[in-house]
This record gives sequence, structure tokens and C-alpha cells, in this order.
Amino acid sequence: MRKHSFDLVSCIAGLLFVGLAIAYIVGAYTDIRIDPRLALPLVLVGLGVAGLAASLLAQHRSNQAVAEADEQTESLTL
Amino acid sequence: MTENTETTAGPAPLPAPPSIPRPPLRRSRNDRVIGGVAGGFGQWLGIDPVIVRVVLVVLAIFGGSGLLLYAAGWLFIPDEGAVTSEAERFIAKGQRPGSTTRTVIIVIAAILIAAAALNLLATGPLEVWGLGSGSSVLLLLAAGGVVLYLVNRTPGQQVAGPPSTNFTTPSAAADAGSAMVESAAMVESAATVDAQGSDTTTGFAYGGYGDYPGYTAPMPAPVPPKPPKRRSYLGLATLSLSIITMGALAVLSASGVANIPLVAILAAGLGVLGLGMLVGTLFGRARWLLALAIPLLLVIVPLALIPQDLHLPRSAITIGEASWVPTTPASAATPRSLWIGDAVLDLSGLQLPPGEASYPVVARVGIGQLSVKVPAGMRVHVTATSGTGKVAVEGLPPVSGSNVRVVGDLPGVVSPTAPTVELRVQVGLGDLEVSRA
Repeated sequence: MRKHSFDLVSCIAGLLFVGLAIAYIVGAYTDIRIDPRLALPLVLVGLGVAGLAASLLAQHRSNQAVAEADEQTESLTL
Repeated sequence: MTENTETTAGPAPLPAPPSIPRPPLRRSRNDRVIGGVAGGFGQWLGIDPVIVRVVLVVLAIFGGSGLLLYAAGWLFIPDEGAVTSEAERFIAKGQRPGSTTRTVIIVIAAILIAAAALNLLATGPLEVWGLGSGSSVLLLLAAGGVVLYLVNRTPGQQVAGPPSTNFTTPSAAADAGSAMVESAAMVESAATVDAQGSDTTTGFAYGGYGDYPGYTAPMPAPVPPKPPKRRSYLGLATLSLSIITMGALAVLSASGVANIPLVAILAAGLGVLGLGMLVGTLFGRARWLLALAIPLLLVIVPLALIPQDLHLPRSAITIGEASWVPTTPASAATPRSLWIGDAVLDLSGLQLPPGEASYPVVARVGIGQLSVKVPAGMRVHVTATSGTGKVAVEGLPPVSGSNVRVVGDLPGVVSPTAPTVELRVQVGLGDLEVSRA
């Protein structure tokens, strides 16, 4: 696999689901109960944050790309 | 040639800059999980396809409309680099001679799907998520779409390309590295000329990412095009590992080596999916696992609410509706369980021998409702519990909340010396009702 730039959505979603998986495994063996009124909104917030951050990042990269492209076309026309 | 502006080893794939007019709505080739509908729609809207996917999955789970939308999108949105949609092409192909095999395959597949759907309806697991018989039609449509897709894809990518897509050779179309169809479209005129002028199998002096004659176009693109994305198998590998993990744990549990709760097995699978996504943070692509992790979580969340002490039989994971009508004390003493669904325990047919003995009756429902009908005059001592929900025993104040427990005698007993039914009823998540018939 090739290394690529940091994927925020993957990172947040991965942390979220690994965390929930651990919580539910622990919950299955102990008396600790995971309140779905807490777990599901947590997932929503987590995914929302991931999406928001990813879109901001994508916007930023896209702006940079336009700037670089402008520079390149300028250098080509010279 | 000035192809040096299009170096291939660049790091981040650049999203289409806003200055370019919106491309036509096409199913994405390079960002595709099933049919590229979400990828194409996301690109068209200029948003992350993951968002589209999540919305579709949520719609699919709650009501099933996501499946219908996806199937419709797949059928009617043309593939990237193509002009006609699958539906159009399919109809056009149907008119050609030699398409009998195709038709036969599709008819057989349709019958199989219909049978499967009817089977689903008969056992009724869909009811659990509030999906009625209406949504099974949507399921059918979606399944039909998938089959059409498979049938259309397998015989060697027969892209009956219209003239304007000459630069997309069939093998390039199959190659996931065709990320630059979009940008190639910008140099379409030049590319078409170029492609026509050269042999498509030998014209790759430029040793870039494969057979892409469009890329040898001498015309400098106004924006550096995206480097071709390599297809990542991280998601698929993770999914397989997750399935293996769950299967192995289930085998361990079933063979008695270790007693692993069902929730823990599923949570382990979820954890593997999460780990795959964590790897995808830096290597490969695994975002689409989200579309699997969310439904899995939605299964785990209610299952985890079933208390462990309910001891539902793992050997018989029963889902649907149940009606229990015991007639003899022996049959009443056998514990009855339902994992998910609604159950009715009717004691009106229960014949008890006279005398002051007590007879146990046990019934458990994991998720759902349990209502117990007791005939008039029967002497019943109730122990009713609910992990989360409402317990209403006739003659006693209803209680709701978590870990609810109601113990008491049902009113309306005629004879004080009648036999006693020792009723022990439990619901993990849901409501429980005990009343006189």
C-alpha cells in the first residue's frame, strides 16, 4: 500500500469504532452498560466532525491547487 | 510533448478546482464501491462521496428508500466516460440478436431474488426495523439492480462506447487508474485526434499509468490533472478480516471452548473494521467501511441492551412474532424465548390439577414486546422484569425505566386454594404486559 496524505475521516471514524467496539466488548463481560442515548449521538457528532474537518481540508487543498495551477500556467505562457 | 506537467508521483489527489464548470452527472469510475453512484453524485455536487454514502445507508436502513435511490442512480446515470446509461444500453442490447443467454440469466436471477425476498417476508426479520412489506419491494429493486450490474460487467467490460469516448479504451475503463477521464474530457478534441492516429495497444511511449492514449495529448491542461488513484484493497482486506474474526469467535463459542457473548463477537468485528479505517488514515483507502460499520453498530446497540442474565438460547436466534399457548404444566415449565420480536403468552388453555401446588411458567423476549394473557380466576404470582422499558401488571402500578422489576399477585383470584402459576417473564428491551384475558 502506498502512503498517502493524512485521511482525517478515516482517522476519526476508526478511533470512534475501535472505541465503541472496546466499550461493547467490555460491556459484554461486565455490568457496565453502554447507554445508546449516549453512544449513538456520539457517533453522529464524531462523523459530523470528521465530515466537517474533511470538507474544510478539501477546500483548503482545492484552493492551494488553483493557486499552484495559476502559477504553472503563468510559467508556461512565459 | 509537454506531459511533464502531469507528473504521476504527486502526493494528494487534487479535487476539481471550482473554476472548472460542473462536469455532467456521471457514475464515478475511480471512486466506486458498488456502482459509483455515490462517488459520481458527490463529485457532481462537489462534496465528499462519503457523505452521500452515509446518507444513502441511513435512508436504506430507515425505510429502504436509499436502496431504491441507489438502484435508480445506477440504472439511469451513465457511467463515467459513457453517454448512455445502463438502462438505455440494456434496452438497446436487448434488441440485438444473441442476447438470449443474458435474458435467461436475468430471468433466473429475478426468480431467485423473488424467492429470497418472499422467504425474508415469511420469517419477517425486516419487521424488526419497522420495515414493512412495502420496503421489500425496494429491496427487490435494489437486488435486481445489483444483478443487472453483475450481468452487465462480467463478460469482459463490453463498453459499447459512443464515438466521443474513443479515448477510453475498454481496458482503461476497467483500470481503476482512470481517474483522469474528467480532465481528459477537457482536452477531448485533441485526445480524440491523437487516439485515432495511434494504435491503442502500442502507442504508450509515455510510460505513465497504463494505456491512456488521451494522456499523450500535446495540449497543456490548464490545471494539473489528478494523478491516477491506485485501487486500494485495504477495505476489502479489512472486511475479510472482520468476517474471519467474527466467524472464528462464533466457532469458539459454539464449540464450547469459550463462552463469548454475541455482542462481543459482533463488537470484535466492528473493532477490526475500525482498525482498518485507522490504517486507512495513512495507507490505502478504507473509508467505505463506514457504510458497513454503521449498520453493524446499529445491530450491536440494541443487542447489547439484552441483559446477559436473560440467557437466551444461542442455538436458536429467533426473530419475528411468537404465540405461546401452553396447555399442560410440563409444557408451561419449558422456558420460552424469543430474541427479537413480539410474543404473546396465552395461559387460557393451561389446565392445572387441583390442589395448592405452584407451577412455574417462564418466558423471555430479548428485544420487543411480551404480553401475557391470564384467564379469569387463575391464581398467578408475577415476577416481571425489563432491562429497559415499561412493565404493566394488571392491578399494580406500571413502572418504566431501566432494570424494572415488578413482583406481585394478579388480582381477581376466585378460590384461595387454587393452584398457583409462578409466572416469571423477562424482556431485555421493550414492554411487558400481564393482564386478565
